[in-house]
This record gives sequence, C-alpha cells and structure tokens, in this order.
Amino acid sequence: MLNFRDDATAFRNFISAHQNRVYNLVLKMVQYVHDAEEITQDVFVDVYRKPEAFRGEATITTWLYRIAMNKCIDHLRKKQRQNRRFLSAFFSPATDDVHTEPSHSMHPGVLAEDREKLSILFKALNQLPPNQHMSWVLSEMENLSYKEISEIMHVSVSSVESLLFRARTNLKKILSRMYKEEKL
Amino acid sequence: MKKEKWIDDIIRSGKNIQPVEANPFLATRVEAKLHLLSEKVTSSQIPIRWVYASAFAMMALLIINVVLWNHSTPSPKNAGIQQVMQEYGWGGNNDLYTMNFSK
Repeated sequence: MLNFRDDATAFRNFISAHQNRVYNLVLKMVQYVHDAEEITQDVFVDVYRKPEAFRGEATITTWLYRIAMNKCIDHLRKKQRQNRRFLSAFFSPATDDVHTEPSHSMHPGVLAEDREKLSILFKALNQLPPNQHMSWVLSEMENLSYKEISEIMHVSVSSVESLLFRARTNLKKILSRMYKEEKL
Repeated sequence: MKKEKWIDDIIRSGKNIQPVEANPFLATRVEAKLHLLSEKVTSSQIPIRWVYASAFAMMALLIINVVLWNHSTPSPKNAGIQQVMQEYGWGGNNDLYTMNFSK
C-alpha cells in the first residue's frame, strides 16, 4: 500500500518517476501550460492525501491517469460553464476570447510546422463532450489500448469502442465544418 | 477529396506532439500545496455543528432570561425595612404617646 506520510524522500522519488507522464497527458487535455502544471500538482496532492484509493487492482500508472483524467474533466467542465456564463461576451468580447481560445501555440511539444494544424485540432477537440475528448486523447495521442482506456475511464471495453466511434465521427463533422469556414 | 486530406492531416498532427519535461520544481510545489492545505485544515478545526450548537444555547439562555425577567413580580419598595419594622413592632408613625400597649 502507498503511504508517503512518513517518508518525504520516497514521495519525491515517486513524483519524479511519474511527473512527466502525468504532465504530458494533462497538457494534451487542457492545452494550457499553467493549468496543466496546477492539475499535475493536484494529482500528486491526491496521491499523498488519499493513498488508500489505490487498491492495487490496476497499475500505478493507470491509477494516476485516472486521477489526472478526472481532474481534467472537472477542469474542462468548469471552463465550459465559465464560457456559458460569459454570455456577457456581448458586452466584453475580449474576456470571452481568453477562455475560448486555446493556447495550443503555448504547448511546448508542438513542432513549428504542425502548430497551425494542431491549433485547429485542439479547437475541434474542445468542442467534443469531455468523455469523448478524453477517450480520443488516450487512444490517438497516448496510444493506449482499449483495455487500458476502459480501466482509466472505469467503463467497459465496448463502451470505450462506442465512445471512440462517436468521438471520431463528431471530430470529422466538426473539422469538415471548420474546413468550410476556413475556405470561405 | 481535398477536404478529406485536410481533415486527415489535422488529425495526424495530434500524433506528432513531442513529450516535454515537467517543471523541475513540481515536487517542491506539491509539498508547498500540501503544507498550505494542512494549515487550512488546522485553522478551521471547530466543527460547524459546534458553532451552531453554542449559538443556539446562547440564544436559548437569552430568551429564558428575558422571559423570567418579564414574569417576575416586582418587589415593593423598602420591603426589607418594612419587614424589620414589623418584627420589632414599630409603627408607621413616630408618636411616642400614642403607642398601643394593650397587647
């Protein structure tokens, strides 16, 4: 069982062993460097405070991914709520732009030639429902198997398949709409 | 056809993201956050139930006091002095010659 309360060194070692993996996943989900750092910190805070949540049924990485993904979904939902609340964008459109415009250009791992394409992809991904967004990122960007995704998302493998199918279909729909807008 | 290619290119760009290093001070920040959280917990140690209970008890005491104050009969003025005078058989006047010794 994990318990770092009496061993600060072990906790530091645990963080340094897993931080890059968690951070990269979170960054792909939320796209903002600052938000990704905050969420990554919160993941390890949870690990320290609730070690009993890890029952050893899955690997530590899967457990960490699960915590990270739950935090990302909470964050995305909060952001969506904020955007809805910012209907007052009528009065202050500049404020709304800050929240809807993702900072993909800020993603440090994006190659210069892919920057524009990735900016469009992230914009499209942000329009998907959070669980479809999450399954797509885990499958297409993290290259995880359906079984691993099902463990992280706490759903059956067939649910993952259906989520991914819907995510791909919706993503193509959103992108074809964006294509039309780009060409206009 | 052109559209399909454009969409495929966009989707494929998601696979070219390079892994990045997390903040080297992440562990320190996590520890700072934990410290802050533990301070918050200790500063708000009094359970809200106890706060409500003590507020309720104080209100009840106040109400009981007010009710008792209003219901108590006011004692007449100089009640103590009159009692002493009655016990010693002193009359209400100071006339020595009209004292009643027939008792």
